[in-house]
Amino acid sequence: MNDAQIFVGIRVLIIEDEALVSMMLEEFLEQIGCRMMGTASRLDDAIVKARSLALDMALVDVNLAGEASFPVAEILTARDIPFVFVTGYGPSGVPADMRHIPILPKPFQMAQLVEAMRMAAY
Amino acid sequence: MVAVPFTLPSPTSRTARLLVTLVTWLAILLLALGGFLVAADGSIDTLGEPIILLMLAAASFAASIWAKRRIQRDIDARLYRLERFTQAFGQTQGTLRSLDGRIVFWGIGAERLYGYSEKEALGKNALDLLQTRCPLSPDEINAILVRDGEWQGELTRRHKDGREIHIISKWSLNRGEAGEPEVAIEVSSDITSIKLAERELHQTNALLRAILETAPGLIYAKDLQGRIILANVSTLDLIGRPWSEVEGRTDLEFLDSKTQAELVMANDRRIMDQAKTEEFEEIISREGRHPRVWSSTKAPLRDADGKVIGLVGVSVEITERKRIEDRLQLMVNELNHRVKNTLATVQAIASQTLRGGDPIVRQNLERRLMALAAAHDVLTREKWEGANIDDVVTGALAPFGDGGDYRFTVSGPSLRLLPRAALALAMGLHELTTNALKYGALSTLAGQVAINWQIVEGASPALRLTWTESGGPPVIAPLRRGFGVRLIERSLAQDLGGKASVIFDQPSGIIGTIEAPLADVAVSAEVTPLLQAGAR
Repeated sequence: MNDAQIFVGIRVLIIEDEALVSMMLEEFLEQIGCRMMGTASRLDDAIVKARSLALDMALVDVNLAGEASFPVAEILTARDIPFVFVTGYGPSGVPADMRHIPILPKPFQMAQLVEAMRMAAY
Repeated sequence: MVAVPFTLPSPTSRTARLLVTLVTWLAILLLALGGFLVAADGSIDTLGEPIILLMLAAASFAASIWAKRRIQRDIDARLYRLERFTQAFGQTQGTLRSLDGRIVFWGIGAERLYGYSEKEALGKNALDLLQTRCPLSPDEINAILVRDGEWQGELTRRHKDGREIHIISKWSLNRGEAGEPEVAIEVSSDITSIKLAERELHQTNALLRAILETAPGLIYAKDLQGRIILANVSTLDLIGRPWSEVEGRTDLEFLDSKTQAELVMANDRRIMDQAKTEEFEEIISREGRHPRVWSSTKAPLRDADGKVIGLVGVSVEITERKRIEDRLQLMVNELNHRVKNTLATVQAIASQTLRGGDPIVRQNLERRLMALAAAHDVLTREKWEGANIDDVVTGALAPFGDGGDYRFTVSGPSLRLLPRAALALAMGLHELTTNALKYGALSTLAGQVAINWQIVEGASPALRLTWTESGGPPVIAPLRRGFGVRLIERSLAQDLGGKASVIFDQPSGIIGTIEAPLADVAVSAEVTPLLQAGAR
């Protein structure tokens, strides 16, 4: 995982409603040396955490138990925090003005996660 | 010359004739008187008076002969004119009949119109001969004739050859010198072709009206200014006003939104300007209710000279269809989301379960899940209606493409696969690729794989796909067939309803073949022509 060295020590927030997927993301992120700042599985919790936590990166599931997470995306954009959409929908599930945000399609492999994060960071 | 049943009134000739008679009688009287005087006197000397009388008589005779000639000439001229007139009248399809219905004059025009000769017609009852059907009874018409002097109407008669003819007829009563009703003059015109055209027009109109009123959609026509000139019941129902309040008015008065009405009218004008038929969707919002969506076809309306004078429109409501389409799209999105989420969850479970175990096992599982997800992606793009075989193959090979695409040669005709076949094929190709990477052609740098499929024509056409490895190491059949091979030979064969085999013991890689009935794997729309061709 040499190419993932760049992510060592960065502070990441995971917004994902599927607990198991969230756990797997955590595991992947720990493997590349990220610092877990928190997880959120509900929109209101995600909004609070996106606003308040000190972050370098966020992974945002598009659909949080039936609610679209775009308000979170707006907060992150306003705070200038890079993030990745994690979704089973594909690009069509994202509003036109957010199409430039990298998408990590579910299911995903470690390499895809790293690639999406790299795209978000640059 | 036709016998004229009445005398032409000729007052001049009557006076003249009286005068001639008087002069003639005067001449005879003078002659008699002269003769008497000669006889009574007997002497030649006294012949003076009788001679004067005889000369007077001679003069009177001369005058009467001259006058008679004049009268005769006058009569001849009149008769000539009468004959000319009669002939002309005869040309006009004119007939004369007595009030009891007997035909007394039958011209060449009547002969042409009804087919009967003068000989056949004269003296016959006009009603019977021509099988006249009339809105009124003969007595009623006669009564009108006597009262008003004329009657006009449409009647139906039958030609000698049996054909029905429609005529418009004007009847006038001619009275004798004493003022007594004498004869009816009838002048007719053949309006059969007009009547038939009228009937045809009526039928066409009735047909159009029936279509207009039974068609489920809106049918309407507007003039160049956008004013309604025709609207069927559905249109009036939608507007909610009777025809009298719709005719001549524009969408500005009917639509809830003036802005929308202006847009609709501007679009209508554009269609009339371009004089081209167009089909499009119109969304019409309503105050306090959901907007309705219409699929409209609008065409320029032209006059007899081809000039555009308005437009005709047909609009069918598709609000419900749109709603269902939207919901279906939502469902497909939701399904895809669910499937992907479930795959991600399965992946997470496996990842947790296999933690600390063999990383190869974990990677194999992960890749199989990814292959399944890739096949789902193709299906999602196609709304689960099927997937193009090219896309399925390319999708299955994509995760292994980093070695350079030149390692795979893909060829075959375009074909749409059913969802189940697409998933099965994607999984099969994934296993073959994994196997080739581990043991086959792709385990060496020079190795290549050719993937080719074709349609085998026959009574029941089949899809045959071959996987041919080359440039790899010699392969030996394993003692125990692994999951990948079993997946291909059993699961894939079963899902495709066909057979699949993997041939080992090849000098430079394996050969895999998959064969399945086309009807079981391909979307039917594209299979039908092939099946029909095979059946012939």
